[in-house]
Amino acid sequence: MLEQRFFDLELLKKPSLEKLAYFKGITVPHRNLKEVLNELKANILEPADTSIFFVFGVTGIGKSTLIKRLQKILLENLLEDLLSNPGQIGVARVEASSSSQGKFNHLDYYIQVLEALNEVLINYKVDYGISETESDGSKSLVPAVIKNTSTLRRAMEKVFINRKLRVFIVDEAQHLFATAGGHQLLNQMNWIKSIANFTKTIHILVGTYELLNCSTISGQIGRRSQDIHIARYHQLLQEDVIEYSTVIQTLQRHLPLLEEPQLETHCEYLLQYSIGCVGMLKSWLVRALRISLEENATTLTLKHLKKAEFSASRRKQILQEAEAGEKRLQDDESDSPTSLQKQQNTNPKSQSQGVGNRKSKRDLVGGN
Amino acid sequence: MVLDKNNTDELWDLEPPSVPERSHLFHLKPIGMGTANVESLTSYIARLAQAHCITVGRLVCAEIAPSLKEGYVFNPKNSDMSKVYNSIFTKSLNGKCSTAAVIVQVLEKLTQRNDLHFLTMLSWADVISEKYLLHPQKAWCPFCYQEWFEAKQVVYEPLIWALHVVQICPRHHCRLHTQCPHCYKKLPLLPGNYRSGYCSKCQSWLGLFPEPETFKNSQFLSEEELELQLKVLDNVGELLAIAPDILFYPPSNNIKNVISVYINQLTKGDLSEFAKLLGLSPHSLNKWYRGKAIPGLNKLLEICFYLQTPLVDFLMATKVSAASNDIPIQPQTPVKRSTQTFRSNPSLLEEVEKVLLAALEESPPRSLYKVVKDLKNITRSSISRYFPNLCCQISERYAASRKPNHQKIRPVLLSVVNNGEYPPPSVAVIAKRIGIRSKTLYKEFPDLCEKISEQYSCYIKLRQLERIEKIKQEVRQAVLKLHNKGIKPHSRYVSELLSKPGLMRDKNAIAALHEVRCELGYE
Repeated sequence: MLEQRFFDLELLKKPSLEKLAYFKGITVPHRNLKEVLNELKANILEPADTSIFFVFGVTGIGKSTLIKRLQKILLENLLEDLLSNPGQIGVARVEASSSSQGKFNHLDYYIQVLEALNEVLINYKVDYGISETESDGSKSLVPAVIKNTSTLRRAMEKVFINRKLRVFIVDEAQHLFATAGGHQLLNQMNWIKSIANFTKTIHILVGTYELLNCSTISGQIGRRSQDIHIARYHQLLQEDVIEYSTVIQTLQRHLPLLEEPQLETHCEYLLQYSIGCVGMLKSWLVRALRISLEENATTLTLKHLKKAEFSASRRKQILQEAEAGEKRLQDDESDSPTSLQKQQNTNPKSQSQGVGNRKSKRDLVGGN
Repeated sequence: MVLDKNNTDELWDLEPPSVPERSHLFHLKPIGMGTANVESLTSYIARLAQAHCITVGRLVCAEIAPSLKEGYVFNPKNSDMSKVYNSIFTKSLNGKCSTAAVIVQVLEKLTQRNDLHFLTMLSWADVISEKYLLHPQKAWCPFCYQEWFEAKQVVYEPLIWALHVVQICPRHHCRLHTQCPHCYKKLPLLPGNYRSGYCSKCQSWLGLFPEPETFKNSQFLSEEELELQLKVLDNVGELLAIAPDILFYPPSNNIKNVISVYINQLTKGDLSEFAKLLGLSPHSLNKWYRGKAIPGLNKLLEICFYLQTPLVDFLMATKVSAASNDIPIQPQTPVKRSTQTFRSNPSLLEEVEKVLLAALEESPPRSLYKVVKDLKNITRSSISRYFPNLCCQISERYAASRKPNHQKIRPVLLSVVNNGEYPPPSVAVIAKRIGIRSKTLYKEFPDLCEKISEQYSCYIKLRQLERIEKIKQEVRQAVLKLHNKGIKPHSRYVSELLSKPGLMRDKNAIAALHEVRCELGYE
């Protein structure tokens, strides 16, 4: 019986490397990712006051896929502008790197951004001292030809403006906030905000749950930013399980094997062992496929899946991270206005001591 | 489990849409395109560098220069900043020369713009001569700078400031500055450390407040001059503004055609009459008329003002003769030097003859040229026509006096060679003694001169050897002195004992020091 397959049957005759590459290239959209994407798209294309978006989720949830898809959609939207203005870049992304000292390094970041934007002569940037858009009345008479962070920052901002960059995506953005202490966190936030405001570029910071600290740190930033959470699929929720099995079905159809495997029967096993992350599921399947291809098996069986599954310790680690993040998110959400009000109500009471009234207890502390 | 089978087929394509290659440098928009205040190319390059946060020199050397053809202007492989800037190439960038065309081409490729040649005079390359087209240095209006700075606008340099015929600022009607008010230096057009609005020599801000005092100081223009300049600005401004709109650049034979039309209309084909009418030199007019040359912008404006036709119409050869009815047909009185002729003033004849006769008796004799030069207002040709004999005698007498006297000079030279004067003099010294040029001496007495110079060079060499020997001796004594005292003869201590402190730098002294130190076992 020749059932209908979803890929070119010629592929079956090709070497296994090509088969693997084909399967790796398959990207299956799913509900949670689509929701996030639509929210981002709507917010960016109809600009509101929001200039910074925090997109976070556990590892393997599909953040990189989201970025790629978002870049494609935005580029398609901007295509007309891009064709008429050959200098515009429109959308760009950079992957923030974690520095060797563990502390975020601005200089490295600027250089990375400039490289991502194909800027010329990065090593030769100079500060012209004055800027036509800046409003400080001081005119420094000698041009400061010093290569420092402020020079590179100005260079980066000028590139943002001159390239008419609309959206700038920072992947692994949690590295931006790898600083010591809450005060510096605030500094980092203000820094990102001022860049976004000055250059009128929307910044999308994509990263792990560590980003959760950021948006609540000051009111000014809270107003200009928005949190977007990519949720994973839970095995306790019926609709999540249905969506997950749909994803599994789509994926199994594109497994370049002689026989289409029947993976949806193992849906619960797959959901549980991939911690509800489609990205993890995908890489798991890729490994399983490699094993089955090595064995020249006609299809993918439970045996292959078992062989390729993530180790228990690793699963535990990821699950812990995910649960911790989700818990923090829930706590944040439970800090609803009513609870805030309660706090505010309790505060005045503690400060009700009248000014100038002596504390009666002070009299006990006498020197005689 | 219920599955929606139709929904599962959707896959995401992550391949981004194909976008044409982005420009290498920013796609920066020039200022004032299509207006009289259009930016100049040098100003654009400077702003481009500023937008990229790099110096102008770096931009030119690292981005523009390597794209030029090898061997063009300078060698791009050897892109030393000073080599780029010593070349003539920045001076004429806003003009119409081939360098400007090449640079525009390179910049258009790098920025993917197609309108950068309007920042130069390239559109009018075939109808305006390069002569007197541009100011040799940077010219600017300090009040414009200040105004832009205070209004937080972009500070730039309009192309119109760069034109030689433009002497005043189109907005403030003050004379354009060409000297920094702080260091009084003239400024180059596009130095490597250029910052718009700042002096490249002393880094001071060039803007000035338009106060009445500063304004007065910079305004030396009379009413008449101002009126003329305003006319110039109108015409040239239109030229710059219209450049992006014209479909084809005017070809060089436009000038030829227009001039011939006017000559036919105004003077019925008489070229010299037309030249007189306009106060032009008939020679150049003839060149333009035959299409052998094109006039400069200053001459074009003069012609247009006389013919009362806008410069653009004249260059584009449109609407010729429309206004020709109003043109005054009185010839302009050409300013001529007042020279006298014998025909008009016969009494001069005697006067001149007297002078010439007196010149014959003079000692030392003067040349005919010098004699005639003192007779002002009469040309040499007319004098030699009326007094051919006298002139001939004066010239001959002068030539004879200039000829070296062999009989007198030879014994002098011989005595130098044979007597062995010490120290032997050089040929130049002898020539000075006799009172003629040494070159003549060499020409007339080659063998004797050779001997003299040989003697002299021998003497020089001897003296040199003596000097070296003296240094050696001095060093040796100094070293021995130190050695006897028990001090290690280091060159520093040795040099303190020498007659001249700088002597130790001499290579012979160093060699001598090494020699003695070796002898004494220090090395």
